Amino acid sequence: MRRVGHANYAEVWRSLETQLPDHDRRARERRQSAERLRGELLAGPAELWLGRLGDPRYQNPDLLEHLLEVCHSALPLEPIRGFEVSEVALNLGGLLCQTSSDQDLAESLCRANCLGSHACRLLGKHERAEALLGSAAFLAHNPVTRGFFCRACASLRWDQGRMDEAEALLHHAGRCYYEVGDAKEGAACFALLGLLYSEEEELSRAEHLLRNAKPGLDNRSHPWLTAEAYLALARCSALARRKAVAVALRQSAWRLVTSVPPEAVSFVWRDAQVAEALGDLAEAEQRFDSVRRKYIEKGYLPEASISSIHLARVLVRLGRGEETCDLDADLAEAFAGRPGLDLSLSMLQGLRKEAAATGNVEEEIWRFMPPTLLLSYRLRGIYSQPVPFV
Amino acid sequence: MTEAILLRGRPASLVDRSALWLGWEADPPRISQEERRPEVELLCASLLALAEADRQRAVRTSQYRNAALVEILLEKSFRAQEADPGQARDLARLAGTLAAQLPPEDGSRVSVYAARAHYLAGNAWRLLGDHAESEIAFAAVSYYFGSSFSSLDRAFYCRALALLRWEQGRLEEAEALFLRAVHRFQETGQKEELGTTLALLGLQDLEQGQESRRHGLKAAWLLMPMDRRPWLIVRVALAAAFRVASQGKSEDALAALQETWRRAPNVSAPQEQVCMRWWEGRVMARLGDEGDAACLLATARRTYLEERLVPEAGLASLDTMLFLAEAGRGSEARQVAEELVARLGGENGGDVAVTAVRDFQSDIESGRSDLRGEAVARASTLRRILRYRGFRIDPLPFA
Repeated sequence: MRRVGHANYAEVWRSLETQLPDHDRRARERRQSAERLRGELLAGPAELWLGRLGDPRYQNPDLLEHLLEVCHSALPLEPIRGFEVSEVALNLGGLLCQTSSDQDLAESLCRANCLGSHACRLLGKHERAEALLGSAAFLAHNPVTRGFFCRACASLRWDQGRMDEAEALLHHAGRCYYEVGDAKEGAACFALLGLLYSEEEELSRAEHLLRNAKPGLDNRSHPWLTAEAYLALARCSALARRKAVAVALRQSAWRLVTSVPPEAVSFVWRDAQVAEALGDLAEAEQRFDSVRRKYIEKGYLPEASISSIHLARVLVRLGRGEETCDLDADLAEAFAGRPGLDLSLSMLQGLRKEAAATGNVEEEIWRFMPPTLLLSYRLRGIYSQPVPFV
Repeated sequence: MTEAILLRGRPASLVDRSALWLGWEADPPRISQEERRPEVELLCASLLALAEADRQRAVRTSQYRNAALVEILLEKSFRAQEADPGQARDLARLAGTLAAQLPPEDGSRVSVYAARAHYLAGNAWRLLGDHAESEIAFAAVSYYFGSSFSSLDRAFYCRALALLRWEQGRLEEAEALFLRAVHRFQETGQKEELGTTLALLGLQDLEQGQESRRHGLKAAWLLMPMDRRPWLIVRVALAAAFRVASQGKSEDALAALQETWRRAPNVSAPQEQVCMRWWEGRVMARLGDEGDAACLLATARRTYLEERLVPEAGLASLDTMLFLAEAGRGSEARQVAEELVARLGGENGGDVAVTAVRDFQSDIESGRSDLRGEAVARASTLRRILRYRGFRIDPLPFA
């Protein structure tokens, strides 16, 4: 019986070997043709692109797939281009729908809506992102598209500070990917969830998720996410007094640094937290300070405030609590008149009073201060920078 | 420190854990200062007796700045959800306004009250059929969830939001939220709530024709409280009967039906009575009881046609047509389709229902082999498109 199975399998393999080159050639030709069309369609300013879609040459499903790839690769660093390409993809999908009811087309449209939504949330346009997801919700059917949709939806909810929804959706996205054996994307979802729990300071949940995600993380397709996940896990390990593990993870993260975009201040910020958790306060001070200055320079109030709180904590631990006054002054100067500044200042001043009165600040208060501050901002409609992963 | 935050932004990291949502599940419900209930009930009655404009002024006076009064208003809102969602919404909003006026010494509770007020308002808006307002209210809840909110708070929130997503037809999100609620209820050992959530998840699966999914209605049945939400008990029993009847297990299906009949007198809402007949008809059709199936399905379908409920009439028509085709009476299916076209074809959404029944009629007439699969697919498309257009289909009276 087993021998028969082997024989049949060998036959299938032989047949594949004869047919594959042909398939491969056809796929290459279709791809080249789609790339050529994309070059012509997206030539010149973006305002011209949509008008060209009336030309029947462009009404081609391969081109739609290729546009989605282009859109995906533009995110998160070029959200405007990502949005413009997603608009073209959506319009092209709409035209193709008029002549075909192919299920694959619905899945492509779902992805186009999701990518458009990512682009919008990266641009801070939450309402538009919401509307695109509202359309995508009715188009996702196969597990991979369902996972893609759930992750896009979770990212928007995370940006909005609706953490319970984000958490539920990331869990579900991971399940969808694992359902079809896509361990790479499943792990990416669980890594994101680990980062979300880290932001919420739910460290045991974060560690559990990050550890489960680690083997599946792909540093070629998701280098930035992988590096941040390693650092977040390193912090959890250091806080749980597993220093050797933390140091090894930190080194792994730094090996990926060349693939992490220079814009990723969050990488250095996370590394500073690892340094602090490992007890290297001098290094932590230097890194937090550099992160804080960068955020002040960029004009990101929530990030500047939270990195100031982190730095304040290191200064207090170093016995230099009096220097935290400078942090308030820097924020007050850089963000004068900005809504939400009062929250940051009252938080820092409160911490200083507490430290002066008791000589220290309870660990619990330090830990939950950043998520609480973020909540307070969001209540006033002030949001931190978007989640940079797509 | 926490008060400083509360005065400005409201969310608190340290909340009073005695104010648990679980209190609402107790009968009679408890408030944190139960001994003050008689006195505060009087205060509440005096506030509610005021005209709307006077009430809005009154809540800003010191007389009503009282945490126990907020709790009682929230409790009343909770209790009114099913019977009078409009009143439930107003009470929740009043409680929210009052909570915002509380003095700083009550600060640590404010975020709990605000979260509950928005949660209750969100659910009430959903029951009233206003999804946009419901969405706004639910979105606000998460901004009041500080880090020390328990898993239980989050579980109730996830479940309530899942129901909204279900009604909106955003099924993927609904499933994600139901599963999260299941996890949270498990964490807190809330078996009855776990059972109730599993039941909802099972019903959602069945609606999508996913009869083999792992979310077990049987497990739900074993855990659900039998003395609350009788309509849900009946729906679960009917869904279980339908599932086992579809698998050819007639005896099990009849046992589940008997359970339904035993529980049925507890269900009083007329729309639930119709829904029961519809489901029973579907079970009878699977069991091959032609007479009962025909009668029950016809009763439900006609009621929906008369009430001009386009989605439900379309769905009941599809079920009736499937039953007729499987009973070898395919030629009668055309009449069912034509009746829908004649009576609801011109209504809002009628085009979608007409397309669904006509396409299914073609499936029957062309002798398609998997009619059950086709019926599920047509029903699913009908639901999806109409929900996308903002229809509420077979809404759940869950609170």
